[in-house]
Amino acid sequence: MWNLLILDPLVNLLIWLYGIFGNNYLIALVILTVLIRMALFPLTARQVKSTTGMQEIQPKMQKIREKYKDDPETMQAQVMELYREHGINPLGGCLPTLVQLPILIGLYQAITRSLAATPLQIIDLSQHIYYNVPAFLPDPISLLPLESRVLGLDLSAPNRLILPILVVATTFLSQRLLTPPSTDPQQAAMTRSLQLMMPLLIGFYSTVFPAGLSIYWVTSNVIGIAQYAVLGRASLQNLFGTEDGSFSLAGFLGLPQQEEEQPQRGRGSSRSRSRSKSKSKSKSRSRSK
Amino acid sequence: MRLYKGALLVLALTLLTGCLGGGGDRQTLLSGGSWPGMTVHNEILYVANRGQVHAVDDQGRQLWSFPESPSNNQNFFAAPAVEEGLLVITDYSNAIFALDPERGTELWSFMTNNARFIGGATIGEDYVFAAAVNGVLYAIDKASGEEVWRFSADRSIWSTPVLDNGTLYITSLDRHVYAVDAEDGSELWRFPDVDVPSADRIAAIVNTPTLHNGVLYFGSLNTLMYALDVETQEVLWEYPTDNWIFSSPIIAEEANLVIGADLDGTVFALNLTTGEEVWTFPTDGPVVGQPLLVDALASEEENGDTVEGSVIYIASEDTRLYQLEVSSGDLVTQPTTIENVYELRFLFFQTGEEVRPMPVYTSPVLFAGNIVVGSHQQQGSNLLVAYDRESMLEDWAFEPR
Repeated sequence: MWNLLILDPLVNLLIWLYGIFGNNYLIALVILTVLIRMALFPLTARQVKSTTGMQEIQPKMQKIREKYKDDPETMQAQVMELYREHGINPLGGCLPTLVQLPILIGLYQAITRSLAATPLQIIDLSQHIYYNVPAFLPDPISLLPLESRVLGLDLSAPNRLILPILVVATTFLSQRLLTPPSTDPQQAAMTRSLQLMMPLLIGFYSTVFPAGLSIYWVTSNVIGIAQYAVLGRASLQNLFGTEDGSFSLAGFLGLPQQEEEQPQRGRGSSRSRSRSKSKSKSKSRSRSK
Repeated sequence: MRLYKGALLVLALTLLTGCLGGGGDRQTLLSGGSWPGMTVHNEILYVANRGQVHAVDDQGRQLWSFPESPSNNQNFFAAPAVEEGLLVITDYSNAIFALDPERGTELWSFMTNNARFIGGATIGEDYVFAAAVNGVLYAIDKASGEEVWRFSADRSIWSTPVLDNGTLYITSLDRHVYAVDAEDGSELWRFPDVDVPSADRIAAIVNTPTLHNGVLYFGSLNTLMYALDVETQEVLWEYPTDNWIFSSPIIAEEANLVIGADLDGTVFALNLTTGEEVWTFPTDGPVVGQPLLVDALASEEENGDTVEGSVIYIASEDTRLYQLEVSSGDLVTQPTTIENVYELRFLFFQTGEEVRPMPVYTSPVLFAGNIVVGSHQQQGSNLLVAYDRESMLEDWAFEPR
């Protein structure tokens, strides 16, 4: 089932794109990434909606937590009621990530198989190729073996220089741009450490996996940032941790020192932002009525 | 929520690195890239696997290993080439080693910068020949290990050169068969010729061709098996197969057959002269190794009738070793399921052991009355299993020390 739904389509799509775009694996990979991100766009939009909703109900959530801190059951019920009231699925933000996971795993397998650098890989590839293809598509057999070297970069082997740096940088950037500051100090600290650890961890993995996967990751990050910008969710305020989006190195790096200076301002501004958003939301609700 | 996403991502990446699982399926084996290659010479079995070459006697005892400890810096994909006083092994990590076959000591090594060797070496009168993934065929002085000449194909070469009468025949992933002068490395001819349009060329060739009576037999990724006359470079016949051909065909001269197998698991026997299909036999997994042709034992019977002539042994990814009668393709005995011990792991920890059927990619060899197959060895499992020819029961197994 995995092969039928995920791996085989990805392998053959990669090979066809390779043939269509002048036997260039790098272009094929970038185009495939664009196609995947476009296919996932509805889910991304839903994720944005869910994240926005979560942000908006944060003040109410805080109040519930404070009010029912000694009664977890009632607190849970109230939180769920709040979600229901605002039409929020608390796991909705995870959906694109969940969908992307099998694609990521499938793509890793598709890259290693389509480039087939060793005997076992080419034997395995023989079990995934579509042999009867429409005439308007390139015949995969005539394209094999695919050329994995593009601009001196071997996409079938790990790259330990430029690509891991790009992976770390774009992952960090996309996380900083897309994640709004949290009103909960505990959650903010956790987010800050994740925003540092995740890019480093993924960067480490990119030194182990084929460079093609890093290309996917970098391209996917860049497209993700663009999509969020289109949806109006990529903000310099998030990036630099400042109200007006002005440059701040400490804010950019999420340093604790900055956090100490800002708690009043940060919380106040968040509250005021939340309040104004709540107002606008209630207005829109009343309009719809 | 963000924590969930992070954890999910890390889990996915962990899965990708193969930290989970363990076992003998193709998926797991892919990380190793290849399988053991065996050669028998002077009553010693030489097996190359991953980072070591071992010499094994007829009781499965280890005589020597090179290097003495497993090396992560070497990866031997092909079977060793052996003659009196010289064993040559090619390394995926850009090197060729010459060893003393008696003691396993290094005689010389040939190091390159970017020549990953998948195919094996061929030992000639004065030179050793081997071709690499960078498309270069090297001739190396047999005594000194110095490069004598090199010939470049357009793309990768995964096969072992075939030497006959001063001419080397080599197949390439650039969709050509080359004939090269073994003395100076000059190109004698290529098939298809340079003026054949790219679209009309055959597909990539990964297997080592078999030469018999002036005809090269080889398969291509276009699912065709070819018989090529080396004098005229004319295709005598071609035979459509069900899938790509990785296995090198064998010649059963008495039966006038060429026997091959494809990656759909079909074993086929063709008339040597006409290419006409004589019989086929289906297995349930890709067949990669070359069939082993041997004379039938006097006691071998098939359906109560004594088997005359020759039989072949062929291993499949379906974990079975088949014994077929050459003339008819009929099973001589029930297939033998090849089993091995596998470590079970979770993350980095061993959680137990399990005996499982083992996919086999090696070409079986006949060694001191036994049929020996090689396993894609993992820690704690056997590298070789020897089956008694008469009973097809395990006689001995070899696990490197």
